[in-house]
Amino acid sequence: MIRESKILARLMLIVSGVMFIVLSASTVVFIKEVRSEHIQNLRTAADNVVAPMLKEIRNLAQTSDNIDWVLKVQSINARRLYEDHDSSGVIEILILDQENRIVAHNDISLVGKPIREGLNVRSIRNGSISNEGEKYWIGDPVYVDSQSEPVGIVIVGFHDADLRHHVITVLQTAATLFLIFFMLALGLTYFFVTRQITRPIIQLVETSKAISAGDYERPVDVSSLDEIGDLARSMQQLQAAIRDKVADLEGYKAQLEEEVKKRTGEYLAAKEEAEDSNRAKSRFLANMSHELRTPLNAVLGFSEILHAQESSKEKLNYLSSINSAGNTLLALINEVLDFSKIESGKMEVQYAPFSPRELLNEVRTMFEQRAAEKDIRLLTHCSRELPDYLLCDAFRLKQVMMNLCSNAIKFTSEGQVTLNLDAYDLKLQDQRVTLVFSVEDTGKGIPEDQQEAIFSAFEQVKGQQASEYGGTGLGLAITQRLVGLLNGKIRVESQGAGQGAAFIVTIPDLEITDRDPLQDGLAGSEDKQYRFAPATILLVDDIQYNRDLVMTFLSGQPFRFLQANDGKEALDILGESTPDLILTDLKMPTMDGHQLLKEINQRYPQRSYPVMLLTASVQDSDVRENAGLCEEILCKPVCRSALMAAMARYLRVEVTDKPLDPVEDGLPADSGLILPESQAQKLLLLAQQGDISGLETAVEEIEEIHTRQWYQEHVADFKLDDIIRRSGKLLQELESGEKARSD
Amino acid sequence: MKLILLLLLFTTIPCLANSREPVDLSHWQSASIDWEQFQGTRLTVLADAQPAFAALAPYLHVFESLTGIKVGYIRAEQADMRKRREIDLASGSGLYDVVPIGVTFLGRAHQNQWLAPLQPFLDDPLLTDPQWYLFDDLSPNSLRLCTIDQTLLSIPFDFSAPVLFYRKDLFQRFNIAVPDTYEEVVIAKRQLQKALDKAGMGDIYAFASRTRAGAGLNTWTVIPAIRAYGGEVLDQNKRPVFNSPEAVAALTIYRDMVTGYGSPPNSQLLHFYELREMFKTGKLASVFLASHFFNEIDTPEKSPIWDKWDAVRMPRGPAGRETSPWAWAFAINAHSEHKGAAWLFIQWATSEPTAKLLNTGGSPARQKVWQSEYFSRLNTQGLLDAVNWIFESGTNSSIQSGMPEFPVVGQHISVAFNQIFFGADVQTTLDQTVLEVEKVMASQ
Repeated sequence: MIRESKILARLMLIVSGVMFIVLSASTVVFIKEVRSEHIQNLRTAADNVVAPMLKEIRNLAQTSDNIDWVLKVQSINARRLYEDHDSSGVIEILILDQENRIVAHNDISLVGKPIREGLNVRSIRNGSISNEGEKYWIGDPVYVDSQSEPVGIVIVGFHDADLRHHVITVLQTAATLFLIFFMLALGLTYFFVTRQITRPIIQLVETSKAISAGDYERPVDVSSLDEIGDLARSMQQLQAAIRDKVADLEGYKAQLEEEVKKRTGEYLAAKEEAEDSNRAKSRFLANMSHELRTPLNAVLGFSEILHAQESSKEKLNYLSSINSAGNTLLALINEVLDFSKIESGKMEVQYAPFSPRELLNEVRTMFEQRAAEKDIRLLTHCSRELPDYLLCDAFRLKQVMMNLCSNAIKFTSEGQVTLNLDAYDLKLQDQRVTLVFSVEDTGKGIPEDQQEAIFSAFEQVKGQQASEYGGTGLGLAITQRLVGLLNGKIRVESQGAGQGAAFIVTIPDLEITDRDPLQDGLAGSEDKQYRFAPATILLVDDIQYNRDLVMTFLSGQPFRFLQANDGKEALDILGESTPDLILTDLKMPTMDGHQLLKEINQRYPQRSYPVMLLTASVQDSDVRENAGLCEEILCKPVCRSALMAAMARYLRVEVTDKPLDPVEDGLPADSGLILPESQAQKLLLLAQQGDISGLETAVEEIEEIHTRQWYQEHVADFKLDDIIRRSGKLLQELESGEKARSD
Repeated sequence: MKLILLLLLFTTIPCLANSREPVDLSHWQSASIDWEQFQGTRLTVLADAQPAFAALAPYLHVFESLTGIKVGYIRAEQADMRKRREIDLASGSGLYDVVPIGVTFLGRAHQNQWLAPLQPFLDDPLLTDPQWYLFDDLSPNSLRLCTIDQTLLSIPFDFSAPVLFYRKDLFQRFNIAVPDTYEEVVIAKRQLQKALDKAGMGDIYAFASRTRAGAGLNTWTVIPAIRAYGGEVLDQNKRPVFNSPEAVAALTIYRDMVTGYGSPPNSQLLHFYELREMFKTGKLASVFLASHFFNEIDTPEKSPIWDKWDAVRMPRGPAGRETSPWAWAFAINAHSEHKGAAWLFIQWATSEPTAKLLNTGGSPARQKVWQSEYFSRLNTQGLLDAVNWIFESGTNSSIQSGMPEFPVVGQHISVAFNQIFFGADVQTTLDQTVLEVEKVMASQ
C-alpha cells in the first residue's frame, strides 16, 4: 500500500508518524513526570498523616516491652487520623506486622482480618506504591528505635482523582496540540513538497514518457540547483545518450533483420529438408513393407498350396524351409514396423474383452511344436483366480506372450519352459484385477549386469552369437514398450548364466468383463469349414500371381472369378456385370484401389455387393482413408482361413465344425484330411524327423485319445505317406493362419 | 502537727516519688483485697495531657509492682484525647480499658452506655476494701460530677474549678485591692494596667480570661458569671434562657473584662493553655484559671513567679458567687475485657496514698489529702480558701452537670459569647442563639 502511494502521501505519512511518535513520547514522559510528582506528593502527605502515629509508637515502645500492644492500640489513633484527613483523600490507615497481619486499622472491625485483595504489600514494603484505579497505598516502616529492624509498616490509602484528571487533561492537551501541529505540518509539507519536489518530478516523468515514446528532443528544465536539478541534468544527459544509442540501434536493427531473414530461410529450408527426409523414411518403410509383403504373400501362399499338393518328402522339406524362411522374414518386417510405430508414438492399443485362458492356450499351441523340436517341455499354468474375461488389447498381449515364449524356447536347450498366468489384487467391488504373466525357462540365463540392457533396442546378451540365435535384437525392446502401452511393467529374474530366467509381466487394474459376442462369433473360426453358395467374385490386382493365389485358396468353392489388372479395368467390368464380391489390391498402376473404391461408391451408391480390400500396406493412413469406402480390409500376406472367415460374413455360406467330407461335401480329391491342430503339429514334427515308429505311435495315440471313432473308420485305409502329406498340409494352413492373425 | 506532716512529706513522699527505686507498697497492701488477682493482665489507660495525668505516669510502676498488671499509658492532648476516647467508646472496640472523663462528656457516654457503672466494683469486697479506700473522703461536689442519674460512672482523680489567680506582688505594689465583684475586676484591670504601663511594665497585662469558642472553653468562666448575675443557660424545663436581662448584664461585664484596655492582644481568642502560659511566665497580672493550675507554678523550676501569686474565689455578682467545678475522673470502658483490673487501677490512682504521691502535680478530690498535705505545704492562703469554697459550694449549672446535649449546646453558646467579645450586640446575639439552641434541644 505504502509502496504504491505517491511521494507526497508518503512524506505526509512520515511527517504525521514522526509527529505522532514525538508527541506521544513527550506526552508519556510528561505523564510519567506528573505521576512521579503526584506520587511524591502523596508520599509526603502520607508521611505527614502517619507522623504522629509513628511518634506515639516510639514513645509507647519506650515504656512498654510489648510491641504487639503498642501497634494494636494504634487502631484508635488510625481512626482519629483517618477522620482528621478524610477530606484530604485518606481512605484507609492500617498497620501490618512483619507477618502482614492487620494489627491496627481505622476500621477496627478489620483488625485481624486478611489484607484486602489488590493491595501489593511486597511492593509497598519495597518503597513503591500500590495502585488500583484512583486509589493509592503508601507505606512507612515502623521503627521503635533507629537501631532495630522495623516492627511493622503503616500503610495509608488515598483516593486521588487528581492524577487521573491531570493525566486526562494532559492527554486532551496533547491530542489538541497534535491535531494543530498535524494540520500545520501537513499543510507546510504539502506546500513544500508540491512546489519543490512533486512538480519537478512530474515534469521529469512527462519528459521520461516523451523519451519512451520516441521524443528525444523534448526540452528538460535544469534550472533547479538541488537534487531534483541534478536528476533533471542526468535525464538530459540520458536523453542525449538514448538519442545516440537509438540511432545506433536503428542501424543494428536493419542488420539484424537482414540476418534473421537469412537465418529463417535457412532454418525453413533445413526443416523442409528434415520433414522431406522423414516423409521419405516413412514412405520408404511403407514401400519396403509393401514391396516385401507383396512377394511374401505369394511365396507363403503358394508354398502353402504346394505343400498341400506335394508328396515328395524332399520337396516337402524344401517347401517347409521356404515357408519357415518366409515367416521369419515376415516376422522381421513386422518387428521393424512395430518398433518404428512405437518409437514414433503411432502405436495404439485397442481394448476389447478377451479370455486370458484361451489366449494362453493359443500361445501354448503355437509353440508346442517348436518346444517339441528342441525336446523341451512346454508347461502352462493358469490360476483359478483368473477371471474368465478381461478388458485389454488381447492382440498386443498375445504379441508380448509370444515374444517372451519364443525367446524362452530359443534360449533353452534342455529342460522346460513354463507359462504362468495369474491374477492378483482382485477388487470385486470395482471389478478390477492385476494380470500377471510369466515365462520361466531353464535356459542359459542372463547375467545380472545385463538384465537391464536386454530391453534396449538392438541389444543382445553379450557373448551371444547372433548367428546362433538370430533375431534383430528388437524383440524384448518391443515387448517392454508394448507392456508399457498396456500400463504394465516387465522385469526379469535370473540367477545368472546357466540358471535359467523368468520374465514377469504385470498389468494392473484390468477391468473384469463379460464375454464379447463378437469374439464368440469368431472364436474357433480356424477350425470351421465353409460351404459357400455359388458366387461371382471380381479380383482386382496388378500382379497375376496374387490373383492366382486367391483363386487357388478359393478353388474348392463354387465361385466364378472375374479378373482385372487395375481399377480402370475393374470399372469396365462393373459396367458390364455385377459381381457378388469384389476383392481388390490397394496399390496398382493407372488407378489404385483407393481411387477404385471412391469410383465404385460414387457410381454405385446403392450397390448390393461388398468390397474387400487386400493390401500389403501397413500404414494406418491407408486403413483410415479406406475404412469407410469398403466393407473389409485384410492385410497381406493373407491366409486362407482368414480370407474365408471374412468372406463368410458377406456371402451365403454354410459353416460347420465338422471336417468336410471330400465326397459328401463335394470337395476336391486332394483337399486332405483335417486333424486337430496339436495332433497335426506332432505328426508333422515326427514326419520331418523321419521317425516312422514315432509317427505310428502318434497315430495310435490320436486314434485312441481324440478321434477314436473317426480314425477307426478312415485311418486304416490311408497309406503312411498320405497321412504325412495330409498332416503337413494342415499344419501349414494353421501356421499361415496364425501368422496372418498376428500381422 | 503540721510540722510533723511536713517532715513526713519530705521524708516519705520523695522516696515514693523516685519512680524507679523500690517503693514501699505497704500503703496499698494494707487494703484487705488481693491486688494480684489480675496478675499478668495488660491494661490500656488513656490519659489527658493535664499535669495531673502527667504526674501519675512516673508512678505506674508502683501499680505494676503491686498488682502484676502491665499498664500501657497513653497520654494525649485534650482535643486528641477526646476524639480517641469517643472513637473507642463509640466503636465498642474496648481498646482502652480506662478512659479519662469530665462531666461534659459523661452524660453522652452514659446515654450510650459506653461506661461501666462503678458501684458494683465499690460494693465487691474482693475488689474494694471500703475501710481502706475511704470513698466518702472524695468531695461530694466532685462525685456529683461523676454521677448521672444516681449512677456512679467515674471516680474523680483531679478536682478543680475556676478561681481568680493574681499577682499579689503587683496588686500590693500598686496598692490595688484584689477585686471581689465583676465590676471591680473591670476597674482593677484598668487601674492595674495603667499602673503597670506607668511603671514601665507594659508587657504585663492586667487581666484575661477564657474567650475562645468551644463547649469546654469560654463557657467554663462565662456561665459562672451569668449565674452570679442571676441568669441561667437553661431553665428547669431545659429551655434556653441565656438571653435574659441577667445574662445580658453578665455578658456585658464579661466582655468588658476580657476586652479593651488592660487586656492582652488577641484577647478575644484566648485558650486556657495560653492563659496558663502567660500567667506562668509573668505576662499576666490576673486571670480566671482552674484551681489545679497551682501545680504548674508552685516551684521556682516551674515558674519565675512561683512565690508571687495567690488566688481568690471567683468574683461575686448580684446573685452570688459561682464557679464551674471540674473533675478529671477515670472511668471503665463498658467494652473492656479487663474491668476488674481496670477498677483496681482506678482504685489505686484515686486512693489517698497515690494522691499523696501526686501532691506536686495533682489536685485531688480527697479533702483529707488537701488538709494533710496541701494546706500545710502551700503558702497561698487565698488559694486554700478558694479550694475550700469549691469543696463546699462549687456546683455547676445544670447544663454542665452531665447533660448529653451540652457538647452541642455549649458549642453554640460559646460561639455567641465569642461574637459578643468581638463586638456583636449582646442582646441580639443571645436572642438569636437562644433560637438556635431551642432547635437543637428540640432535635435531641
